[in-house]
Amino acid sequence: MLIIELLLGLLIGCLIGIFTGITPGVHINLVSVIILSFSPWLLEFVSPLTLGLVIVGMTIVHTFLDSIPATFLGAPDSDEVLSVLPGHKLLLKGRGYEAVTRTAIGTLAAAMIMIALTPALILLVNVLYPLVKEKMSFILLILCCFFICKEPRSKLWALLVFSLAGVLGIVTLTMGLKDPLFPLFSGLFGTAGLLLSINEKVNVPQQEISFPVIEKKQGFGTLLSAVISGSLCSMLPGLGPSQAAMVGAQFTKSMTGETFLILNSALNMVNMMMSFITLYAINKGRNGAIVVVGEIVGKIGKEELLMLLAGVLIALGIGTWLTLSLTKVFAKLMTKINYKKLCIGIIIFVTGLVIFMTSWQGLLIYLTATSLGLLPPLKNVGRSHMMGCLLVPIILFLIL
Amino acid sequence: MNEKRLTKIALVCSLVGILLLLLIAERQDVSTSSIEKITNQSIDKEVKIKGKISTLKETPAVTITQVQDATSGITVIMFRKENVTLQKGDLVEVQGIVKEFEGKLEIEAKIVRAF
Repeated sequence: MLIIELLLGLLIGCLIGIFTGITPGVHINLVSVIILSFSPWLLEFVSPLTLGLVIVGMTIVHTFLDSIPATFLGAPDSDEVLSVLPGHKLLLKGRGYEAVTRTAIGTLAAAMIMIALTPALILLVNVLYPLVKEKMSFILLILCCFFICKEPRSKLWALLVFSLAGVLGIVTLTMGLKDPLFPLFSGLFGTAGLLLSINEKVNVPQQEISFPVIEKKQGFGTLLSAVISGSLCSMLPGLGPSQAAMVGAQFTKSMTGETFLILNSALNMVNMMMSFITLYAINKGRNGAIVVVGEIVGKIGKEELLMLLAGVLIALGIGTWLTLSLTKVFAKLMTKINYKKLCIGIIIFVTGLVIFMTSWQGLLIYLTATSLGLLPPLKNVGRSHMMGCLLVPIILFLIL
Repeated sequence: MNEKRLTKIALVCSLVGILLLLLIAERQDVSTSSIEKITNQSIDKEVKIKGKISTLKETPAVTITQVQDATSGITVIMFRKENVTLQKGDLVEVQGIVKEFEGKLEIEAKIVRAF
C-alpha cells in the first residue's frame, strides 16, 4: 500500500530530524545531499515521493527542534542565529522551556498560515518573481546596505565581517569541494558559538516548566510581519530567515526578546514553506533540503505539492509534540550535565565530520570560518552579517 | 493558549495531514495491469506494469526500454534515467502515463523500480 510506504517514509524523516535538530552542526542540507547521493539505490525500493517525504519530515522536525540547542547550548545553525541571544537570556533566567515553547508556537502558527495562504502565494510568486528577477542584484545590494546600516553598534565591524565572510564564501565556493557549505556554516555559526560558550563559564540555573503567555494582538502582529517579510525575502537567493527577521522587525512595534523568538521561528517556517511554493511555481527551491526534494521527485505538480503539504501537516504535529517533550528532558538535564564537556564533545564530533566529508581543504575552510565566526560576538555585532558568505558570491554571480 | 491546547492543535494538524495523504495516495495508487490491457483508451491515463526489460537504449536525455510481460510488450520512456541503473533482463515495475508516439503506444515512466 502506497499510503503505508509514504507514512513510513515521513516517520523515518522525523526520526532523522530529531538527530539533526538536537545535534548542533549537523544541518539538514548535508543530510539531504547524503540522501540524494543514495537515491539511485533507494529508488529501487521506494517511490520518489516517499523519499521526498523523508526529507519533508526531517526538515519540519529539524525546524522545530533546532531551537533546543540554540537555547540550551547557545549553538545555533545559520537560520537560528538571531534567536540565540534572547533564547539564551531566558535560559539563564531559568526560562529555557518557555523560550523553546515560544519558538514552537511561532513555527506551528506560521506553518498553518502559510498552508492556508498557499494558493494566494503561488499567484504572488508568479506575478512578482519575473519583476524581482530582472533587478535581483540591485535589490540584494540595497538589502545588504540596509542590514549593515541597521547594525545598532559598530557599522564598521559589521561591514568588515560582511566583507570577510564574502571573500571566504567566494574562495570556498570556487574550491570545487563536494559539500562546500558544510565546513563553512559549521565554522561560522556552529563551532564559533560553542567555543565562546566554553569560555563563558555558563552556570545554568534550575529550569522552571512554565508555558508562555502571549498577548493575542502582539502574537498576530508578529506572525503577520513574519509572513510578509519572509515571503518577500524567500524570492531572493542568499537571504535566509535571519535577514528576513531584520526586515520583519521593522514592521513590529515594541519588539522584545520574547516576541523576537516567535518572529524568528515563524520566519524559519515561512522560509521553508515558501521554498515548497517557489519549487512548484518557478521550479526553484530556496532551501537546500527542498531543492533536493525537487531533484528526487522531479516535476512538482498540484498532486505532488498537496502530498508534500500533507506531509508537512503530519510532521507539524509530531514536531510540536517532540519539542514540548524533549525540551522538558533538556531542561532537567541541563543542570546536571557538564556543559563544558558537552560543548567540547560536539566540537570534536563536528570537526571529525568535516574532515571525513571534505578532507583537509574543508578543514582549512572550517578553521578559517570558525575564526571569523568568533568576531561578531567579540565585537558585539550581529552574527547574521556573516551571511555575506553567500550574498557576496550571489551578487557577483548575478552582476558578472 | 496552554500546553494542552497547543498539543490539541498539533494533533488536529497531523490527523488532517494523514487524511489528505490518504486521499491523494489512493488516487495515485494504481493497481498493476497486464500489458495487453493497455489500449488506445488508456492514452493519457496512469498505468502500472510489471515485466522484463527486453531491449535497452540509453541516450543522454532519455532511456528507451522495451518491457515484456507474459501477455505482450510495450516501450517505456524514462526521462530521469539516473534514478535507477537498469540492465537488459532486469525485472521492473513501471508506473507512468500512456502516450501515443508515431501510432504506437508507449509509457512515459514516472516511477521505475528494479527487482
